[in-house]
Order: sequence, then structure tokens, then C-alpha cells
Amino acid sequence: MKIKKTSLFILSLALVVALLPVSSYAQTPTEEPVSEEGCTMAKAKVATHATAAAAAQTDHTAKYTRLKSDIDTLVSSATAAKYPDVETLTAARDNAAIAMNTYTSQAKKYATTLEKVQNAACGEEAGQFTQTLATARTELALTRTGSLAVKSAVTKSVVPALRDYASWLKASADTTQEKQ
Amino acid sequence: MNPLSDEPNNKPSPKVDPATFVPEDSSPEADLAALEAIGVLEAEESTSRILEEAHAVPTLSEVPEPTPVHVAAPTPPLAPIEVEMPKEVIQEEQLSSSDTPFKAFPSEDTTAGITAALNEAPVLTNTNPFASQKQKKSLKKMVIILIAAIVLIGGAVAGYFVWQSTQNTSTVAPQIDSGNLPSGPVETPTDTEARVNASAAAIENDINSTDDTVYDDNSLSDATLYGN
Repeated sequence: MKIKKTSLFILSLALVVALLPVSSYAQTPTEEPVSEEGCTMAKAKVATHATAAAAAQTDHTAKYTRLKSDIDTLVSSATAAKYPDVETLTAARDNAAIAMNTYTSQAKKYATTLEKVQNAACGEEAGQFTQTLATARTELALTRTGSLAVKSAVTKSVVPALRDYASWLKASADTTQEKQ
Repeated sequence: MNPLSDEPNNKPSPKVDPATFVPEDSSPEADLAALEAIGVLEAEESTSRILEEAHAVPTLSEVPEPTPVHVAAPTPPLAPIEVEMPKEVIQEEQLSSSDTPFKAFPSEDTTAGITAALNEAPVLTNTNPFASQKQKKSLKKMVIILIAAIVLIGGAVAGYFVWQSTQNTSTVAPQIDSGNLPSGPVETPTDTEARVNASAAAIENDINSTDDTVYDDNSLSDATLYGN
């Protein structure tokens, strides 16, 4: 019985010791005191970053619109050419379009949060700044994930589908030449 | 003693007393006198009979009052009704009371008298208040129906014109500038293997060239924000 009690105590102690650094790490951003000077400086940097993020969003959106148009044209011509696997091409195009829309809405959200960070009060109410900054960090990660998802959808689905279509075109052209 | 009646007649004859008349002889003068007496007696008897009959006729006051007649709403005013009254009654009423609604007129000018009486008689007019209310109600109904009909017709006409105008706009042929049209048939570019492959490569390059460095975690890290 004594051995059991001692082992249980040691085990619980070990658990507390193991979890202590994790909890302290998780609480660091919110509990870390931010001086008014540091807050003001951080807000200026956030403003610079917000401008860059807005430019990136504009650049990404314009690129996505152009890509959508190009892919749509190819899907239409594949349908007109009675490409048998046009459904795969259409599905790839649709997935890419969904990913692009997701990125656009997430980027807008991120821009709004960055604005909130810039407008957060410093000084005694610095907690508001750190909280909004934490939200902005989460949304930054989501926006990046969205952009990567678009890249993935285009490079891993649309481009291979287009290559398949090109192969089919070559095969059908060869067949026509052979017949002639 | 009257030779034609059992009752004794006390009235003296103007010339010959029939009660005391006794023919003494059969002379022509005596016969003439007897005939005269008989005539006088007969005249007296007829007068008394007429008076009795006149008393037996009912007076105007005893005549039952006529039941009121309800006249229909839009009928024209009624003409005076000619009431034929016995001459004797008229005379008696005239004698008994001067307030009677009927006047006795001399028998010589009967037509003129009746005409005058009819002119003075009250003319029946339509004074029923319910009839006038009904008239007003029906008039209101008519006005409402008329307005509704006008509104309906107006709406129908307006709707027709609106519909016609929309039809006109929808049927107008679009104006095409024929100068900008290509002269020959438009050739749709046909996909080739090379062309599609080139497009795929361009799309791949375009998407890969997307700069995501701005979305790095370092952008909002503590080191970046609070560091120098």
C-alpha cells in the first residue's frame, strides 16, 4: 500500500513538473507586460505589415482572377472538343475556385483584425492590444494556409488535368493523321 | 175625413177642405174642386216621403274613413280623385256644418264646381321618408359603381399601354455597328497539345510565383514587433 501511494505521488508530481513549462509558455503573450513605448512601436510595425498584407491580397486576388479566366477558357474548349475526361478538369477548376474564394475572405478578415490592432489602446489598457494581436497572429496563419491551399489546388489538380487534356489532344491528333 | 187615407188630416186645404168636402151634387164645378183637393193631398204625401228618405241616407261624418294608401317611391304625383256624392248629402252637410271639406255647388254649374273643388283639394305627394332614403342609397350605390367602373377601365387602359410599351422595348432590335464586325467567319482557336501545355506551364509558374512571405509568422512575432 505504501509503495502504491508513493508511486502515485511521484507520478502526479512528475506530471505537474512536465505541464508547468507548457502552461507558462502558453500564457506568455497575454501575461507579458507591454510597456506603452513598446506598444506604440509595435503598432507602427503592424501598420507597415498591414500595408504589405493589403498589397499582397490585391496581388493574389488579381492573379487568381486571371488564372480563373485562363482555366475557364481551357475547360470550355475541352468541352467543345468533346474531351472525355472533362469532368476531372471541371472538378479541378471548381476546387481551385473554392480555395481562391476562401483565401479572399480570410485575407479580408485578417486586414480587419490588423486594423483593430492598430486602433487598440496602449498604456493601462495594453491588454486590449495584446489580445487583438493574438487574434491577428491566428488569422495570419489562416491566411497563409489559404494562399497555400490555392497553390496546391492549382499545381496539384488543375495543371495535371490540363496536361492530361494536352495528352488527349496529341493522341487524337495522331489518330487523325493516321486516318488521313 | 180624407177619403184616400184612414188617418185624419188636420191640415186645411188652401182652397177646399178635403175633410169637410162633401160633394153635394155632380155638377162639373164640384168635380173639378174634388180633383183639386186630391192633387193637393198627393203632393203633401210625396213631400213627406222624400224627407223620410233623406233622413235615412248616411251623412258624410258616418262614412268610414279610407285606409291609407302607400304609394310607390318614384310614381308621379297623383291626380285628384273625383268623389261622387249624393246631392242630398252634399246639401245636408252644407246645412249642418260649414267646416266640411266638400262644398255644395249649384246644380246648374256642376262641372265648374267640381273642377274648382278638385283644384282646391290637397294633392297627394310622395312624402315617405323611407322612400327618399332608399333613393339616396340607390344614388350612392350608382355613384360608387360608376367610379369603380371608371377606375377599372382606366386601369385596364393604362395596363394595356404599359404592356405595349414593354413589348416595344423588348422587341427593339439591338443596334449593331456592322463596321466593327469581321468580314469573314470567326475562327474559334482550336486547342493543340502544345498550346494547352504552354497554358498549363504558364499557370503553374504564375501560381508558384505568388509571394507569401508577407504571411510568415515572423511578420507579427514578438521579435519583429518589440525588437530593434
